Formats: sequence, structure tokens, C-alpha cells
Amino acid sequence: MNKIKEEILLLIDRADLIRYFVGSELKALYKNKVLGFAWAVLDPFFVMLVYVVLVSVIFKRGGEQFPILLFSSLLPWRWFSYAANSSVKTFIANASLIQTVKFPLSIFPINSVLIGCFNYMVGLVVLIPMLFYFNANITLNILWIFPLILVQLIFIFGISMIVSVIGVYFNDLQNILAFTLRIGFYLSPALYELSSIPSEYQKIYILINPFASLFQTCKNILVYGTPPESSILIYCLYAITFFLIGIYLITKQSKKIPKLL
Amino acid sequence: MSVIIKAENIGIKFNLGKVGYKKMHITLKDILQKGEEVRKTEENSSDFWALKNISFSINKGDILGVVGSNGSGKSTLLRIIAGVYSLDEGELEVKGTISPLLSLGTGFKPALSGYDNIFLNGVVMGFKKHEIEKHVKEIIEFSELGNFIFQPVKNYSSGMKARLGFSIAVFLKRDIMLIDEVLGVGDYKFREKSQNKMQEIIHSGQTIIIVSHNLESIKKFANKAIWINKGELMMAGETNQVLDKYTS
Repeated sequence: MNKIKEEILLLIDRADLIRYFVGSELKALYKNKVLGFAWAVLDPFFVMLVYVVLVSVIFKRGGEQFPILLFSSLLPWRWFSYAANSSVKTFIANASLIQTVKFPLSIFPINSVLIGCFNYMVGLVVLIPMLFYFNANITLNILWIFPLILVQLIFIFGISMIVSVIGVYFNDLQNILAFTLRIGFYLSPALYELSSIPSEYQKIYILINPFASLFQTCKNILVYGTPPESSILIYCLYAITFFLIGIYLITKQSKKIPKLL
Repeated sequence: MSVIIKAENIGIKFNLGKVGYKKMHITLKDILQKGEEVRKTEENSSDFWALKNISFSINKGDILGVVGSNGSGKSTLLRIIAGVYSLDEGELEVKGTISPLLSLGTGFKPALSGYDNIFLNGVVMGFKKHEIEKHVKEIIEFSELGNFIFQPVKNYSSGMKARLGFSIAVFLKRDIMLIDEVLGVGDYKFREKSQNKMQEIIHSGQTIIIVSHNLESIKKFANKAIWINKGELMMAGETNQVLDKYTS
């Protein structure tokens, strides 16, 4: 427990480093492209467009509000999958740095999480005019998004720490993860509604898939204008569990990892 | 003179065998085929002591040169002092902050300008933003990069990168400086300038540990030296004596 506290304090102490890491990564990501920063908006937008064409135009399903329902759950998913996919190889990618300077190792996964978070926020800014255009029921419940961002931060940080540590020992995780995330997206209610799951399985589905309650809450507060249901507590519970496992793993392994790279 | 680094019988081992699941896989298969004995030999042969029984001490203001052939464990020693590797044996006491010199180009982001990279490198080395701001002018001036400082580092020649890296290192320093093979960078003129700068830093009472194959520069700068061979300490003492033994 003390070690966990120490790791968090070290992270706070090196806030300047985190800021520069994230800032430079974002700069490098967008600076040398003609459309530059616009890609942060266009990337998720095009993904959404593909699904809208597929579901709304070709399958003629999903209803009128499908684009915003999809977008409000696609954004948190992209944040999660970006962070997990880049954390799994982050220690290997930064091996030369890790072997020269002493770092609190959790700094590398948190970078991926914050870069994903930045893209998520940009996505939200784009979502707002879309909500108006597609006649979403905008109420004060939309403010629930702020605590929800915080919980997601904890959830994603936890998962990112876990995969970053395992990724050092087990290189194949990079490939496995990319594949699992792809399937995971279809197993989560982004492209469809929770209500389309057979009702006898709904409870267990919400219990075992944290994204079920997360996506449902995103749709509730952003599109339907209703407050989050109590099922979001399941997601919160997952968040705390993953965070504790992650930070435990990373502090436990931080002496071994530099030697293994 | 106060002791700033004291190492007593330090040792570090690496597991050269396959790690993680691969190791598991091998042992499982081998145990099934040949039984216990294979696993025992596997465990013993895979431990490699990169350093063993190394003892030395450095006072404040000392310049320690570390010599030894390739793969003798010199860089490993620096990494231990920098706190990157943890010890498997012995005790190491470091009283003071350490600024590791990033080997050339490490930590540079090619897409960013030299100016941005000064800050990035600085925070990586553990400095706060305002500390870097104090020195940024001197760094740019010393590196002689002029307006190139605002160009992306990917457009730099290797000499320019080296100059920038060296300038960052000599202006952003802590109680103990660690240098790994980066003396004498750039063209003839800059090399002279950097050697002069090093002399100046040495006279200012900075504690430095230098790892180098360039015996001339070790002779010139260091007042103490240690010679490591295959992870073992061969000799520690005055620079000239150690170098005499090392070269004979």
C-alpha cells in the first residue's frame, strides 16, 4: 500500500514530464500533416461514417438517432483501445530511456491514457453540434459526463498498467490485444442497443461486460437526457479493481522491468 | 572531503535464459522428457553476473574514470548508479542528485524542433520547467545551432544533434554527472570548445563519472579510475596507476 502511494506521489512530482511527454507526442502526431490537428476530429468521424453507411444505409437499421448513439459510445471505446494498444508496447518502445533515467514506470501508460483522453475530449466537442442536429434530448444530465470521464480515466489507466507489465513478459500480447479489442467492440452495445440483447441474458451481460453499462450511460446522458442508471456502479467497480491490480503490478515489477528490456 | 558515492561489494545479475512463458514452456517440456536434472542446469546456467564484488568510493569533486573492454559491465555500473537497475548484492549509497547524460539522440523526438527537444530532454532528466528556462539561452548559444534550433531535429546532421545533446548535458547538471562515451562530439572546433567546457566544469568542483574507451580523455580529466574486467573489479586507485596496469 505504501509503495502504491509512493508511485502516485512520484507521478505527481513529475507532472512537468508528463505534460511534455503528452504534449510532444500530440505535436508529433498532428504537426506534420496538412490537415494537422483536424485529424483528431476526422479520425473518429470517418469511423462513425463507415458504420452509419453500413447500418443505416445498407441494413436500414438503427433509427434516426443512430449516428449520435453510435458516436457517444464510439468515443469512449476509441480512448480505451488506443490507450491499451499503445501501453502494451510502451516499455519496449521507450527501452533506451528507461535504461538511462530512473522513472516511475507508470508514467508511460499514463501518457497513452492522457493522449487518448485528449482525443476523446476533442471528439466530445464535435459530438455536441451533432446532438443538436439529430434532435437529442439535451438536459442538465449531460453534466454527468465529467464524473464519467474521471471514472473512465481510472479504468483505462488500470488496464493500461496491466497490459504494459504483461507486454514485457509476453510479447504476443500485442497481437492478441489488437484482435481481442476488435471483437470486444462488437460484443459491447455500441452498434446496437442493450435492449436488443435477450432479456434473460441482459443482467449477466451487464455484469461481465463493463462496457455495457458504460455505453448505456453515455447514451443516456448525452442522447436521451436521462440520468445514469445504477448499473454504472458496475463499471466503477471494475475501474477501481483494474486500477488497484494495475498499480500493484507495476510497483511490484518496477525493479525487474528495466533489466528485462 | 565528503564521500558522495560509496559502493560496497555490489553485484547485479541478469537472467540470460528465456524469460516468462518461454522459460515455462521449455522447463515443462524438458521436465516431461528428462526430469528434474534439466531444470537445475537450466536455472544455474541462465544467471549471469554482470557485475560482482565491486567496491569503490567517490568524494565530492572527484572525477572517476571507468575503463574496461567491451561488455565488461561499465555501462551497467552507470545504470546502477543512476538508479535504473536495482542491486542483487551489496550496498550502494548515493548522497546527491544525479544527472544522467542521455547517449546521443536518446530522448530526442525527431519531429519536434531543437528548442522543444531541449525542454523534453530536460524534463526527462528530471528537471522542472522553470529550471530549464533559466538555461535555455546558454544551451542554444553553446550549441551554435542558431536559427536551426527551431527546425525539426530530423533535419539535423549527426554532428548538430551531438552538439545539442552535449550542450543540454553541460548546462543541465546535478550533483553527480554520469557520462557514457560522449566526450569530443562534433567537428574539430566544437570538440575543442567542448573539452574546454569540460575542464571548466571540472574546476568548478563537479563530481563526474566517465565511462570511455578514449584513454586520453580519461587521463586528462579523471583523478581516480577503476578498471573492470568481465564484471569484476581489477583495480581502483589513482588514474595513472590504473591506466598503466590496464594498458600493460
